[in-house]
Amino acid sequence: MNARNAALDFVSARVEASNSGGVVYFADADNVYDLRLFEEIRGSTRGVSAFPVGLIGRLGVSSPVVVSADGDGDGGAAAVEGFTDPWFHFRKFPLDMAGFAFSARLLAETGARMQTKVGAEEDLFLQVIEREAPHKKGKPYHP
Amino acid sequence: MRPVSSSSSFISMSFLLLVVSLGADGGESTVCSDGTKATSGDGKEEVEGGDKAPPATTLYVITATYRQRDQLPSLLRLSQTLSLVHALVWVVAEETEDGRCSPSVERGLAELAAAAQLGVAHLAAKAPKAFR
Repeated sequence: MNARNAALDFVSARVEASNSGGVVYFADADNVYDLRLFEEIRGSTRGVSAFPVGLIGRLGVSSPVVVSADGDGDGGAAAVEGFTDPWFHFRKFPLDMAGFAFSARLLAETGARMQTKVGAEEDLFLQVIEREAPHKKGKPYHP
Repeated sequence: MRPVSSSSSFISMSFLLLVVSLGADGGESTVCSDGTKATSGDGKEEVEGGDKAPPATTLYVITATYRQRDQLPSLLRLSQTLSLVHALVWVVAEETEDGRCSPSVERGLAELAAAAQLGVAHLAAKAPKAFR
């Protein structure tokens, strides 16, 4: 996925040159994005954020399973406990490319990039990030 | 890379070439245009008319694209969604045969960016050998 890596190079260089931060999200042109998603990503992403992607597989959704620390689903500090993606296939992070966002600073610090392993690009990328960001914070899933 | 001795078997030479080609795909990319505002400080830019509003964290939205029938219409559609989001940098990364930006996409993006006041960076990278 050289195009995505070239883009990650660009963003990393921008972040380092301007000593600034930001949030990075992969948005392919064939998906549909609710405008509210962008503000939610912008506001909630600290290290890595993960969220549901619709119209995937039989379940109709690929989503992280989020458990809130205090168990009452009110949006308190939450952690990603699992995934519902229909195609786990030995991936540690079975997420769709459109189902996660991450800190630009974390990207620059870890130097994470996509590897050309079909089906596992997101997974391997996130594994690199996870080494530096042990906690993955996701928004609680509201059906 | 060391020259392969003439006594190497065909199989071992093929293996060497395979290993080299897998590793040689990176780093061949170009930035063709960067119409985005450079941010300073901690990645926040001022929201319009926002004396009291806090500066927003920059969103970097990366779209990988390659030559296909609906490439330009899809980019048009996405650009119009993204133009409604503030403090956003759109990074359009094309995957091309030669790692250079295609003129049609370049023209298309220039029009979109102007019309939508969207900060767009246009990059190109060589498609991985397996996909060419």
